Amino acid sequence: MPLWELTGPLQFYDRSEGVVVCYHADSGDTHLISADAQQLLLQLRDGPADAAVLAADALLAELAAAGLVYCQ
Amino acid sequence: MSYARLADLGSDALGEQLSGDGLRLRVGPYCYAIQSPEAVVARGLATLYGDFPLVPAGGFADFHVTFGPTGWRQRLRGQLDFFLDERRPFGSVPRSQAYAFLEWGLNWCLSVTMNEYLKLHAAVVAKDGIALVMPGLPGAGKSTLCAALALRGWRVLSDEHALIPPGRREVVPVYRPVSLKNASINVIRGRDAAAVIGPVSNDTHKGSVAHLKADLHPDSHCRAPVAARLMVFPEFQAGAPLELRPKGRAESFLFAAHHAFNYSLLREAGFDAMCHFIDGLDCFDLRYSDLDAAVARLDALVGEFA
Repeated sequence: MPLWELTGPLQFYDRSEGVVVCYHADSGDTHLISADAQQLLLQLRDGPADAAVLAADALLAELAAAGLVYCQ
Repeated sequence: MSYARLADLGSDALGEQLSGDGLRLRVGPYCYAIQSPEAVVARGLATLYGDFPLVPAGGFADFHVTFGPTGWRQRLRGQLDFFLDERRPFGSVPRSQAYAFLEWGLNWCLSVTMNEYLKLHAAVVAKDGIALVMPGLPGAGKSTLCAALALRGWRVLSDEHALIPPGRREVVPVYRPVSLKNASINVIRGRDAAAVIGPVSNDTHKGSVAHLKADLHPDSHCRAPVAARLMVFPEFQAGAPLELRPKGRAESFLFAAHHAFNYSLLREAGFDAMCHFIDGLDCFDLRYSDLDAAVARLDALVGEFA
């Protein structure tokens, strides 16, 4: 099964507002993401995960387009 | 004021310094050395920079600026070139637009250097010891609002650059005259007959441009940082009712970072500096059409935090 993982280390600015600032250290890019997207990224910070387990195809596609995750 | 000011120089001495080694002006933490043989530059500086502290001739300068014709072709065509050392931010400009380009050039000097600060593209004003940071897209009305606040007793820390020392919730003052464009020039002139406005440059790529002498507050040239407590994103919209509504810190972070001069350049240090800075602020969107109403609302807002 293909696995999803982060493209690099991330930092977050989260003040429980429903949206979160996400900083991608390798690219230097800063994104505004949803709280759901942050949860997904935090899950992937623990290690690669199966798309079936993550159950968030649309969100993964969005995060991949933003350069934050990729599918092995 | 105990320091020597530009106004203390006679017009002859001002001309000699501009034509010689350079007029050395203290602008916040920096010194500009300006050389220019142009009469409009001397006139504009005398009008707008009269209360600026002078740095002794020959002393250290952070920015060595020259602005004048660089050869016979430029002389014949009435064109001028701006240089920071050997760097040129823009091509030759017509003499009729010289003053606007001088101010833009002086902005550019700071925008592309001095990365010891996180530099947001924002006006910064202060009242009762509280700094209010106003990032804004071009045309959002931040400079007009900044000018109106100055005429109502607020201190202007900058019309263009919010200088934030990393790890602090303060803004370092770097006051220069406030830039006004097109209709804003007469709007501000009409609010105060005593308002001092410098040379008008017509037909620039931004239309007509002039600058307001806005160092009206007694602390205008104090160099101590001022605590920041508020961030307001102004948006002028003709006919719109006044609306001030809270804005999330994350959203404010992103907007301010994307309109910063060096957030990306500073990389993680920029992210850390923004996190710390934004955490200390209450953020708002301000939509306005009536300047008096906007000024009154900001007066009341800062009163709530003083």
